Amino acid sequence: MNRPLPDPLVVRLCLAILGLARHLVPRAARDQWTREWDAEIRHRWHAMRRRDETRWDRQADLVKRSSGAVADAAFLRQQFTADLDVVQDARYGVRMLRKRPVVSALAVVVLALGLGGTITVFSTIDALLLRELPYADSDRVVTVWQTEVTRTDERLGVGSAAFLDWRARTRSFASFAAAEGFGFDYFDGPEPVQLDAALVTEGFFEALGVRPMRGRLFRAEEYVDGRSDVVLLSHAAWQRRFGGDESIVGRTIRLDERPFVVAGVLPSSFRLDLLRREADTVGGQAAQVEELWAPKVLRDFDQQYRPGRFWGAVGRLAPGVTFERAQADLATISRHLASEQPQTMASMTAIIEPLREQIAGPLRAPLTLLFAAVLMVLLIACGNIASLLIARSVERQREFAVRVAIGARRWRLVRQVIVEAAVLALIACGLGLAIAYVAVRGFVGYTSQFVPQLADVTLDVRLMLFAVGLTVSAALCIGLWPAIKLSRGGVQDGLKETATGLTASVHRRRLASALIVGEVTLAVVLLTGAGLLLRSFVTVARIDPGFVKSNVALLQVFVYGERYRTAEQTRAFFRQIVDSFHSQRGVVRAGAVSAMPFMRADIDVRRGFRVAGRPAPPDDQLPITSIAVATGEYFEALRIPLRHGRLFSDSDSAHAPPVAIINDLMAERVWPGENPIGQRITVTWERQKRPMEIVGVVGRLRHNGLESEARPEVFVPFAQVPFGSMTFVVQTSSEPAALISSLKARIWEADPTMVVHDAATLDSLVAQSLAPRRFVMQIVGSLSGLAFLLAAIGIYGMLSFSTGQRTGEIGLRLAMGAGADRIMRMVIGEGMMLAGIGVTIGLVAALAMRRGIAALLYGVSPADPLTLAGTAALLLAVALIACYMPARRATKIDPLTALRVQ
Amino acid sequence: MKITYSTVLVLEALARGYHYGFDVIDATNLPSGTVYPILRRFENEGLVTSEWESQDVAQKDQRPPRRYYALTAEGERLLADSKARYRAASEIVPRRKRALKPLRGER
Repeated sequence: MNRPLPDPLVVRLCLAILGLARHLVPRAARDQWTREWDAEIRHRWHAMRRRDETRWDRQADLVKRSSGAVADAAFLRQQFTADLDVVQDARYGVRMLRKRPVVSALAVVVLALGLGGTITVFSTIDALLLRELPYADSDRVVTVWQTEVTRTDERLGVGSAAFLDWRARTRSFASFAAAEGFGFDYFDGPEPVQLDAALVTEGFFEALGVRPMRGRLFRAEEYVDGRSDVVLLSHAAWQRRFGGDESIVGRTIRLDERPFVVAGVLPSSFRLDLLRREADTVGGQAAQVEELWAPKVLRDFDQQYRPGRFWGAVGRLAPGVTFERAQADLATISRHLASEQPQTMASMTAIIEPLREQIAGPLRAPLTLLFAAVLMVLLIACGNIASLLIARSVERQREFAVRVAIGARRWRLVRQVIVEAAVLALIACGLGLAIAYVAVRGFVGYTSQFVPQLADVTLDVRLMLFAVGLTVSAALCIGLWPAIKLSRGGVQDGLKETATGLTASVHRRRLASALIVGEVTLAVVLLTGAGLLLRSFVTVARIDPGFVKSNVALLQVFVYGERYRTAEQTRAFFRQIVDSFHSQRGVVRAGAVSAMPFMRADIDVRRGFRVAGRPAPPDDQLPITSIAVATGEYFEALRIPLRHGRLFSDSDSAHAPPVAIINDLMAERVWPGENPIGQRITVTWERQKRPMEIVGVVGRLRHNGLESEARPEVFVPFAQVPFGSMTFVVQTSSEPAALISSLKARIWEADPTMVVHDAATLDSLVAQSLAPRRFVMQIVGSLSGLAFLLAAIGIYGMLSFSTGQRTGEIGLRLAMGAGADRIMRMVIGEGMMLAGIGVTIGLVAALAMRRGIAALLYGVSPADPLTLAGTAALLLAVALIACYMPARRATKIDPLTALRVQ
Repeated sequence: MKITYSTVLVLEALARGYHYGFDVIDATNLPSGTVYPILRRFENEGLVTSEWESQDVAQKDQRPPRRYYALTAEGERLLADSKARYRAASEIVPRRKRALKPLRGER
């Protein structure tokens, strides 16, 4: 008796291949399959040994032959899968879709657009509202704002003194810190620039929970004079200004012509927009993104200065402290401060806000609106496809009935319909993802201007899951209805109906009608929204800002430092630039102003003023006006209307009596019904009382966007009040954008280190302020156009289907003497009734949802009758066209043929 | 059932008395990854039947029993039908048994 030998290496290798391949074999056949191969291999080895054919090439041959087991197993698996009902259903589904290519393509495209849009908007919402912020324990981080007790919905910046008082007294925060906006001149780049920066108090990054990606944060001893010349770079600045230099940490860079040591680089996810105070996207202020961060050295001035509110504060709640408790704590401290400092703090309190709210706030309303709009389009698309499948299920009723009659289980048919819908949805899902991929890029490129956080928006795995989830639910929505119809005993009727019936199934038509009504309803809601947004946009775009925006170039400079110590030096610099501008070809005139409307850095100096000859209230209750320094050409370059008196002239020199020009809003408020020319007002300027005679009244301006209110304003002549922060306002005879670089060159001729802080055409600034409004309007507009089209297609498809079903009935009517016009009326009436119901419900729904959109409107009521009536009329008109074609076809039915067919 | 050159070769081999998978592979010179799927298809279509080799024979050699394939009447008919089309097949499959890769002492 031979003892079984242990398997040699080659056999073991062959068996290992089997061991892997066997997993491919369908479970039922697996054991038998393994036995067969195992036996063949062993038998062959046996024979080889007997014949002494165990040379290596024979062994290799055996291994090669065994590897065929993989192909064999794969074949069995494929055969098994191909036999699966689901796969057969899917194949059948694809075949059915290919049979009607136009309808199928339309359905897929529509669904893909809906899906793509939903994913795009969802990814934005995800980045803003759902995803964890890139900060440790970010839900414990809050922003802190000052606000007036009577207007707590308005967030003001934080005064340095108030911040320091809060910090000294509060116990609610683990760390509590503030940032102050700042700018560093940087001359080592291609042109002199000012880098947006923020000076931060101790614990700022700790409060946020940010870690540097390279280097370190600031040390405690660096918040002291003489040791504070260190900076942290934002990731973007590191890339853009220093080419991503790996050795940047520890290097010295020159800022404001002083050496600073780079302590570290912040991660790219860190983009805080804390110093933005305006909370509206509709205002269109591009977010300021700091490139540099440096330690703030606290001075006596910061401790004492109360009126200014330029800081942004953040805090990390101490362990165990709730949001509400921290809020109450700060409110209590504010009340104490109010009683200690009644002059400046009497009406002020503090509010806190979760960091996420501060980041997402401005986009919340438009995003919610967009998401709702996209979802509606998706719903309409699903409705459309459902009616498509219903129509087809009717056409296939006979087929299904026969299949049931010869023994197909009913569930099998239901599943067939669902799988067909899923095939449709899956194709659409692929296409939708492609659309979303492209759209997200465009969307992000645009919106991240306003909310820097959005630059992080991507399509990630969870979004893919979201898309698949959407598709599955869409498939269920689409597949279920026709499937239910089929399973609910429609089969018996099915055989009967096609054989004898003259009228279509009432149930099915009722369902299809409900879908049409739903589609029209949603389309009306969307179209109403788009109409309201359009009207708002037009209203806003038509607002007169108080100046003529065409052919104006703007260049903003901040003049300071050694070379501009005296008023004379500053005056000389501006004189030289303006003269050199005037010698530039294409320049009509050039002026300068401190407070330039629509400029990002709006220099709004506010002062209390006294009117000569009137009893003055105490200092802290003086009426407030904005003060702007301007040259006479400024008014002419912007073509601001002169209402009374005169503009500044050369005679208003430094040594002439001080004069001022006011705007008509100020004139109305202070001298209602009187002539203000010749009146005198006094303001405090550079700690000196400055009495001035009013020599002119000009039109009012809207400074912060077309939707902002004008402010009372006093202009003083630059010659008398030389001021360093000025914007050159250059009126040109042709396209101003082309002149900007030559104008910059002229500035650098006068001073090669002068930073041109901002340079733009006035046209582009105004357009930019409208951009967010335009963006939302365009998206909602195109979505509503799509919805509109879909609803029309739905009506058309539904009527075609129902007249097709009723061919026999219509033929009978015609045979009995009904005229073509009668048939036409009947069919059109059916369609228009559905459209009418849809429009009515849609209008009611639009009214019910008006609060959702109100925040995005301007100068138009959400219940605007014109918009509502226009929407209704437009939809009914399109519905009529959609009804007409099937109706016409119905009248062409030949009664004889129709009856014979039955 | 799609008739290809390979399927005719396998039919022919079975008809000439090669009844085990590896033997068919030897006889036809086709790769194992081609022969086995063809055998599976034949079985599905009822052109061949399969059974396990008797336990005794296997026991003697101390190896598991092999799977034995045989043409059915339908298989024979298909072979006859397709032979005309693939005359070459009869030339490639050797008329004498074991001519291609003689396995001495076998069967």
